[in-house]
Amino acid sequence: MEKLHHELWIVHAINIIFGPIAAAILRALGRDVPAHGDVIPDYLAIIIFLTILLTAFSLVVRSRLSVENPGKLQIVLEDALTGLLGMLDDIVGPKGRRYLPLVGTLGVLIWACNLSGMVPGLMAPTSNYNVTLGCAITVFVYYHYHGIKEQGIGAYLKHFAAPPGAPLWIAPIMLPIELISHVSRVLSLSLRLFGNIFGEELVILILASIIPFVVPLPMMLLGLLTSTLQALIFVMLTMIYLGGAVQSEDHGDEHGHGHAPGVAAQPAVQL
Amino acid sequence: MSTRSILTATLALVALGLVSPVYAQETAAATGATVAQWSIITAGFALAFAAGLAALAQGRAVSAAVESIARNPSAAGDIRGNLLLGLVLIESLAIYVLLISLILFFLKPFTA
Repeated sequence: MEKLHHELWIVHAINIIFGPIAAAILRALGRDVPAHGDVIPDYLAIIIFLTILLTAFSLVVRSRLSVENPGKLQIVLEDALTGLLGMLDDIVGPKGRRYLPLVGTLGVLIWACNLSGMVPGLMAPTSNYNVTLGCAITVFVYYHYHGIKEQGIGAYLKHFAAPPGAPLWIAPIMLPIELISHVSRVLSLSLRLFGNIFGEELVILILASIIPFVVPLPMMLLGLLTSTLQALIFVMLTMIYLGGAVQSEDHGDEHGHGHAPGVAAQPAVQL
Repeated sequence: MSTRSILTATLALVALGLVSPVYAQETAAATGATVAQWSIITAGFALAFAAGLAALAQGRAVSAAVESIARNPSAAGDIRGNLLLGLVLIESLAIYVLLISLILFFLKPFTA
């Protein structure tokens, strides 16, 4: 396969500006610096660029918010926010709104990263396994931290040993199963996102290397769809894991009637 | 033991005895292909199986979802949410096989 790496001028520009600083920091930490080529890898440069872009966009939108005369952009963003808050209330429960910062940020960032694979001057940072593994580990640490904070470490660990309603002697069987399923959540989150985005990009590349004229276009359309869908699924699974971690036994089955795409399916989602 | 079961057991033993020399001939002919080439063929077959089985499973999910929307159109939003979640989870199993195939194809861990 010919080389998949492609030199982007944004990455080159960021490396010209910040490359020497990054090289100096790396040398001070004792790690070796590549002599030729970019010090800052392309996915890191693009994700930092996207973060700065999204922050600037949010600040600009925030300065133009108005209650009595909202523009189209504000209405669309408020719809998206309402949808996200509705999902949080359904899946996590009444205390779900406090998790909006991380869940919303992950959703918007992953969506922007996935879509920038389709933009000519950028690449998708989520097509590199490091980025998706970072997102998955963040989610893992976050939901365990909040589970322990909500329920206390004793009750939280007891959930691992015996799910609510089950006797205590099945703990030796349940404990390895629960541990493996929680570790496999990290793997499945990261591999799903990485596989979808990298695979999509690879298929477009191979098709374009055979017939570059019109044939890659349906795959690019499919790429737009799966970019949005994968960001949505990442966020939905984060909410399901959060819901499973912070729900305590007394209102564990209060919600689950009505519209809850995840709560009823929570035992089945243990991949 | 009846005559029939003794006959079946004897036939099975003879068949087992006959199969092994044929196997030895096949492996003697097949040592021309290296592990690297077999790994690529394996990757292709694994992906075919994964894609076919995932398609079957997703077809069942979609058919059940569409049928339940037809039976209860007011629950269409909830059913659609569950359907999407289920489809993506099934598809992610095929994606795992794709990743192994990609590793076998491009990283080529078995070449000398």
